[in-house]
Amino acid sequence: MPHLSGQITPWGPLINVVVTASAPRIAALTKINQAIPNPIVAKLVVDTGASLTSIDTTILMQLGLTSKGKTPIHTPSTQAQPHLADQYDVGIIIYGLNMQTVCHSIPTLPVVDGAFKAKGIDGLLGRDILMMARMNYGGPDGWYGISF
Amino acid sequence: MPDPLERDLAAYKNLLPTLTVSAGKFALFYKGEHQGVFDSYTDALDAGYKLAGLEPFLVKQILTTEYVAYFTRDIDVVCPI
Repeated sequence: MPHLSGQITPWGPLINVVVTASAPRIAALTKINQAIPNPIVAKLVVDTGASLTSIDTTILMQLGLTSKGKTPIHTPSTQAQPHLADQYDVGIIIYGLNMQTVCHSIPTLPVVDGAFKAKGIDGLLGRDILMMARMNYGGPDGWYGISF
Repeated sequence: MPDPLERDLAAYKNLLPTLTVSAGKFALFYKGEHQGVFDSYTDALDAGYKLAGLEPFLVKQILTTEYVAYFTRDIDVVCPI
């Protein structure tokens, strides 16, 4: 079972993932001979309090993506009324510790946009991805482990 | 001219009563027109890109009760319903 581990930081468990255009979008770009945007490394907080994975808007814009839907979300600020978040299609690649081995690859995943850069991170890895994994939180050791 | 995504969302809401037989599946809308129902998000997205290329289109999971995602921290989205 592919496994990775990482450090628990003041932000929480941090994980570096590679964000790409989704597989169907890459196929569409290839078909019309358009350049495929370079994958982007993103620093995400593993967040069991997030239903969905959320990526900073600047990364989604760098990938040239356009929204393919809207989804209602509740956050501490939304109070009783949910907000509509834009949904984008991406691919996510999670590497093992040595950044040579692909630990897990999701060719197509809907994510919502957010603004995280000012907080020092690029987004949240939510329960939509964690539902594919087993996670150990080693609080005393300051490390976590995820197996896919 | 209305935002293409808003136009497609309005079309989805109008058609929802007839789409509920396919609850859980994914509907594709393009230029305000329903283009089909697909078993998975990837299948609907694939069909959308084949049909519309890089033009805007909507992929929406058909749900009788709208799913609301929860975040225990703010993600700074500023688009109220």
